[in-house]
Amino acid sequence: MKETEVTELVNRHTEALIGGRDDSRELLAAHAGPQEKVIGELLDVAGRVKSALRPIAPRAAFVGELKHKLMREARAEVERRTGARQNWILLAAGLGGIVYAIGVLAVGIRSATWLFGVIALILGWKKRQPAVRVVQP
Amino acid sequence: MKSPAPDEHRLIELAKCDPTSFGELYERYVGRIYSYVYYRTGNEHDAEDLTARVFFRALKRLPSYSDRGLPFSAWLYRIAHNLVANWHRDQGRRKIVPLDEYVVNGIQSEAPEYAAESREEQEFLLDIIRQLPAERQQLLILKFVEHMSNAEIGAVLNRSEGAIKSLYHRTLLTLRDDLERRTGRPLPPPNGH
Repeated sequence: MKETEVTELVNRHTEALIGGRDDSRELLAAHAGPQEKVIGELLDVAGRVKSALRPIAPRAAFVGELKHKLMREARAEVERRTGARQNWILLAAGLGGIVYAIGVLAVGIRSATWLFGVIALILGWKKRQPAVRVVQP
Repeated sequence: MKSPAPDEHRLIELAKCDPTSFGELYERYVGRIYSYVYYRTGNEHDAEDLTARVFFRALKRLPSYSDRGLPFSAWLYRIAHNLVANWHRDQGRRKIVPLDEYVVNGIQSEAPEYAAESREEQEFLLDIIRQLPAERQQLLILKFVEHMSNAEIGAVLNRSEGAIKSLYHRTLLTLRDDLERRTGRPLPPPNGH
């Protein structure tokens, strides 16, 4: 029997064992031969390990207490996330306000420049008109 | 390879958006993670401490969790594995006594008909298991305590299913040799368990 076959066999046996069925005898009967002893020992070890390792439940008080702590942490996390979102909103609003103010200032400056230009144009035109009419002889 | 079930997938997505929904995932896995950590650390106090750390870390890292076709439990076991590895590094030793406490208490409460001799035999075997490399201990715990398939164990240990089968075979051979060496006699023929 090849090593890979033994590997498959012990794995199949353990799956059955975990499922609550011990087919050691059938497997050994089916694989009688020079490797019967080794296979038998491995199946025996698997059975011993199964008996030694069993699921263990945590204390109910521990489970309840940890859940309580986790939920408190989760709520704090929600608050942190909400706080962070609010900070982003405030930051965005602040930046928007600054951009708006700069825009208003720019428009104001342009408007003032235009207005002064118009005034200057009017004044310049008036300057070119003499105040007293020159009378020709 | 099993991906998270639809119900579980929904819970994970919900918990990502709203961490207060993490409670259901916690209840689903706390027993399994505790059991795993207990066998790896060997005492109740450290098992509780590390189990708590596993779930706090999971809660913190859940937003970055992505479904890569592996069960959610594989992700939790990896966190547990890393924390236990750090714990062993910090301890610089492996604890021995409390596992025996569990075996004695567990067997007394679950099956009073077990004889003292049988308890001693199991304590003896646990002692040998604890001498195995961490990966092999992990394999035995996931297989016999968590009832995980080879494929699922492979997902946790980052190995192929075939590699896990082979590792399990080698682990049984090592255990057999250790048992024979420590008892000084060959194992008795199997009589069914």
